[in-house]
Amino acid sequence: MPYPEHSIARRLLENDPKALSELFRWISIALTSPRFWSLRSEWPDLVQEVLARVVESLQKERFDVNRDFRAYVQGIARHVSHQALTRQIASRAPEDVPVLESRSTDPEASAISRQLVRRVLDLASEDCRDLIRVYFYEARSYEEIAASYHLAVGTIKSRLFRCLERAHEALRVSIFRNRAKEKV
Amino acid sequence: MNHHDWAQRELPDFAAGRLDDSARRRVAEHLTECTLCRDMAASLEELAKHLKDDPEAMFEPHPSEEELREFWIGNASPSRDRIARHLGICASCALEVDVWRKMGDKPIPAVPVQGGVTTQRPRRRAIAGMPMGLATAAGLLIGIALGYVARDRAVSPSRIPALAERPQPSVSERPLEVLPRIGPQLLLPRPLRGEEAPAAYRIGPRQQAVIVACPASVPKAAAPTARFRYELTREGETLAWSQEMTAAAIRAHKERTGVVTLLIPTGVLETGRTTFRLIAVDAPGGSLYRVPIEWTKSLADP
Repeated sequence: MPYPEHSIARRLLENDPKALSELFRWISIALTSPRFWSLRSEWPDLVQEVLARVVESLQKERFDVNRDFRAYVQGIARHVSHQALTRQIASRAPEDVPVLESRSTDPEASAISRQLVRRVLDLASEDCRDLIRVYFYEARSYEEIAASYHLAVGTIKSRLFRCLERAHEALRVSIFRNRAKEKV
Repeated sequence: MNHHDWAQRELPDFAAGRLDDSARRRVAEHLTECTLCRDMAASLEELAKHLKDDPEAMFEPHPSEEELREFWIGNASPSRDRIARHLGICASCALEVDVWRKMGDKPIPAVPVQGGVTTQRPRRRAIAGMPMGLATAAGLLIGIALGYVARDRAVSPSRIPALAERPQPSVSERPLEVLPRIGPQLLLPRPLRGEEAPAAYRIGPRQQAVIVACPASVPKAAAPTARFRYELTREGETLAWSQEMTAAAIRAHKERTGVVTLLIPTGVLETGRTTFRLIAVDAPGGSLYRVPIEWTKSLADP
């Protein structure tokens, strides 16, 4: 086996649960990216598929130990998700696009929407998360934020807007958004 | 700055409810005619709503991998309630627990979380119907769990003691017992014209199941509901193991991974030669795929 004794790749092939835990986390992070949100019902199966491919790849010694194993695993996860997404898009009529309405009275739809927002915040930079927190959660004014950051109010406004713009993009690509909004 | 630019810059304040009536009306009017801004306003309102409803959960750190495994095992811990709440808000951690749950012998208790979603979500459609679900146990880990059950009845849910009665070893004390041991996957050779390329497999002493990946396809003419059987026979044609699948299920797995993965409990395997076959159940005849497999048992784990 070409993998160093204490490497995750080696431990994975030795069925070490801790290595498996790490692998599950890497795969889960990649699969739950907002762009794969429409595959939500398939996530558990996709984890299995990714795991199978990773293990097969390791057994066939395709993984180069000089590469970052996490990036390798997440690359496989993204590839598998893209394939699933392509299949999903090809087999679905436009009216079947899933709908998510955050203000829906359906508690499950609301819970999914909350998870999506949390995921988007996870993907944001530390600075953006901080700005969003102090603005929305702590309800501080631009002036207060600017003073604590030692920056101009205009700079804070621009930075917050850019952070929110990115968050919006991530939410938008999830295609789980309520298309009805476009028809208002 | 034109009206669109102005309105767009006001969207964070609009979503946070910080605009005065006049400005709010102007932004709202703009939203009726601008799809871009309306879409962004919807996102920001969604964001603001959830940040307002449960702000701490939105920013709290994720539990460690070990904490999630402890949670799945059912160990009492002071952070248990926090993790349960976190799973309701974090898709990736919920997915991790979901996968552990499907793999392991111990079910996690259904944890009701905010919004009515529990960590035990319904299985996807391929697994909803039991016969089809078993047939499509090509999904590796579900198969592993099934194999574990098949090998050792002691893990059947009815015989699992209640959570409080169970000893609660830490994860580090029982890492390998949590998972069924499956060893390396056996990838069968692709069909060769007129040849039966043999395969060999060494079973580890603690191995409970073998994952066999079969590359064979079913005929294009076969109806989706046509049934096919994978079987393993010992010398003398004694059946050691078999599993049926429909043509549709086989095609689905072939399309997805290029192989159909099957779980064979090591309890049915004996040292020596067996023959692995794929046959059509409804149209008996020759094998669609056939390969001899030589099984050996090793003293050390592979």
